[in-house]
Amino acid sequence: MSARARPSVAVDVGAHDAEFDEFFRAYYAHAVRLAHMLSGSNAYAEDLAQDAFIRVRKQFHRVDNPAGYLRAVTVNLCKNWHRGRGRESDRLRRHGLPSPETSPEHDELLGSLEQLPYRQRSVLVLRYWVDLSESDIAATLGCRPGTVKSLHGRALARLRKDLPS
Amino acid sequence: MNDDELGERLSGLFHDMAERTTISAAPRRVAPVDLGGRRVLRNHFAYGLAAAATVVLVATLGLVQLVGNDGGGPTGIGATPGSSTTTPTPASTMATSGGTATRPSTAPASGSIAVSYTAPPPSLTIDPFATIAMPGTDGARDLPAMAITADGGAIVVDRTRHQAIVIDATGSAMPAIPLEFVPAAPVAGPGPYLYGLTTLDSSMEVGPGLAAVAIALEGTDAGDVVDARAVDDPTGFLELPVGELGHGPTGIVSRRRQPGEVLAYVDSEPRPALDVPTMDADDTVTWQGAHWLLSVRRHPDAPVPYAGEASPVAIDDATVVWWTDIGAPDDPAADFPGGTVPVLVSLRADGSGEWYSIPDGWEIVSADGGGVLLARRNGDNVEIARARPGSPPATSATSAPAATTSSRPGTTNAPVAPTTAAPACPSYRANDRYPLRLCDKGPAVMAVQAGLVAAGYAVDVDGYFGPGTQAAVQSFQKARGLEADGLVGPDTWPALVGGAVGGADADGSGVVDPWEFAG
Repeated sequence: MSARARPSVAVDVGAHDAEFDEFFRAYYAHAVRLAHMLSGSNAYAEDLAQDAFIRVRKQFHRVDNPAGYLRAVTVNLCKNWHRGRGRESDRLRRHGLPSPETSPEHDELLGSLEQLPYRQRSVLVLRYWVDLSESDIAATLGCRPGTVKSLHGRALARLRKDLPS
Repeated sequence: MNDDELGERLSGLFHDMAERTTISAAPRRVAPVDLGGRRVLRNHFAYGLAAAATVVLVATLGLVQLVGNDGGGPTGIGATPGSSTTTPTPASTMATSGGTATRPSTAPASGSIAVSYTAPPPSLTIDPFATIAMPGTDGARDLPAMAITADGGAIVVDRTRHQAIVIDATGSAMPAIPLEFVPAAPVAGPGPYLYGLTTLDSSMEVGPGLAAVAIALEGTDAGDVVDARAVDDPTGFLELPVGELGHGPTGIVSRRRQPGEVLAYVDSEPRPALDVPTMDADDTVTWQGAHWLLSVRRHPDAPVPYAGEASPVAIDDATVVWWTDIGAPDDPAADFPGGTVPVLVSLRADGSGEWYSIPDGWEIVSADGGGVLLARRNGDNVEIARARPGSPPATSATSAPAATTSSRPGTTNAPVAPTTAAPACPSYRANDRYPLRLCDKGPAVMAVQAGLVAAGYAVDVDGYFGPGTQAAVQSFQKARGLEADGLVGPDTWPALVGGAVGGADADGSGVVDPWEFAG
C-alpha cells in the first residue's frame, strides 16, 4: 500500500479561510473513506478526496450545503477513476493479489460489489455507509428518487444472485 | 438472503473499509450529522427501523386487496344494522362537524382505493400560477422548500440566498425577506408567520441545536425568529420529507412521528382545527372516523416496492391526500428504467377517493391545510402550481362512495375513460419491449393496432396506445381466453400480431418480438 506523504492542507492556497479550514478538518476523513468505497482503492482515495476538496473550495461560499456538494463531487470524481483505472485493480484482485481493503470475511461481497455498474455501487455506498435517504441519494447523483429505488433494487438483486445463501 | 441481511452485510463491509482507510492528512473524525440541508444523515438505528417498515409495506402492497365494508356490512353509510338512524350522513356534515366529540353516530365511511400499474391513473391537472426566478447552483439542483398558504399562495424558502419569498394566490411575489435561520419543512401561518425546523446557534435562548421555530414575515421583526422550542430528540427529525410538519388543532405538529405538537401557534387567531390523519401498517388511512384502504398493485418485477416517505395530509376539512410512486421497469436489463410513476391519491370524507398521476418533472413540494403545491424547475426558473385534488372531477359526480364500490384489480375509482377532461396519457413513451401498454407509442404499437383491426376491432392505427387501443386489447384478450389485463406481453403479442410482421427472430424465441420485427 502506498502511504505517500501528503501535504497537510491540500487546497490551492488563496486567502486564509477559517470556515473552509474547519469544514476541511471536519469532513476530510469522511471524504477519504467515501472515496475509498466508491473507487475501491485505498491507495488513491486520498488523492481523490483532496481533488474533491479543491473543487468544493471554489464553490464553498456559494453552495447551500457544502457537505452535500462535497459528496456529489466525490461521487463524480470517483466515477471517472473507476472507469479509468478500476478495471486494472479488479483484474489484479481476481488474479489473487492479496486485497488490503477488507478482512477475508468480506472478500466475496467486495468481489461482487466490484462487478456492479458504478451508479449501483454508489447507491449502495451512499445508502449503507453514509446512511442517506433516497431523496438525498437522488440529489447526490442528480437523478430522480425513482431511479435510486431501481438502482438499489437491481444492485441488491445482483448481489443476491452472486452470493450463496 | 433478504434485503435486510444483505444490507447488514454491506454495512459491515463498508464499515470495515472505513476502518481500514488510510488517512494521513487530517485527524480521524467522522463527519458530524449535518442539519444544514433539507434532509440530512440518518443514524444507523433509524435506518434499520425504516428498512423494517419497508418490508412490512412490501408484504402489504405487493398484492391487490379487495376490501369492501370495514365492518362487513353489506350496505353503505347509515344502514349498518343496529344503527339508530338510517339517514345517510352527507360528507359535508361529517367533515364540518370537526372535533372528535361530535363525530356522526353512523358507521364510519370506509373504502378501498385501488390503483394498478396496468391502468395508469388520470393525470393531475397542473396549471402553474407563479413562476419565480431562482437559479440553481451546482449544489442546489433541488427545488426550494415551500409552504402553501391558507389563501392558496406559497411561501418559498430559498436556502441558497437565505430568504423567504411570499407569493399570493395570483402569483405576485412580495419583496424577499432575509432570514437569519432558514427553516426546513416549512409551514405557513396562521397569521404572517412561517414555521419550521432549523438549527439554532448559541445566540438563541434555546440553542444550540435543532428547534421548531416561528419566524415573523411582517413588521419590524420580519425575518426574525419570534418563538422557538428545542426538539428533544433530534434523531427523529433526521429526515424531513415534504409534509413532515403541518397544522394541528392548536399548533404545528409532526405528522410522521407520533402526532404531537412541536410548537404552539404564536398567532392569537389560530386556523380552524384540522385532525391529523394517520396511516397504519396495513395501509389504512384513518381520519375523522373515515377509513380508506389504499391498494397499490405493482408489477411483479418492480424493483423495490416503495411506499414513500409521505404522511397522509388533510388539505381541507373534507379531503386527505397521500402520495407515493408505483410502477415497474420497462426493461429489466437497462440501468435506467423509466417505469416509475409518482401518484397522488385524494381521499374524501365519504370514503371515496381517486388516484392521479403526477406529470413528469413536477414534484409535490407542500401539502397542508389549503391544498397541495407542486413545483418544477425550468432552467433558472421555478414554476409553482396548486393542485386541489379534493374537488371531485366533473365526470365523477355520479360515482358512488367507495363504501358501496368494489374495486377491481386494474381499475381505479376515478374515471379513466377518454371522456375525462384530462388526457389519459400526459405523454407517450416509445416502447418496443414487453409489455406494450397504455401510453406507449411506436411501430410496435402500430403493429398491435393493425392486428386489432385485422381481428375486427375498430381502432386507429396511429402508433399511440391510448384508452381505445387498451379497451380493444382487453376485449381481444377476453375473446382469446388470455388474461384481460390490457398489456401486450409475450402471450398477447403472438396471438395478435402473429406472423403478420416481417423480421428475423434474432433471439430464437420462436416469435418475431416487438423489437425484432422490421416495422
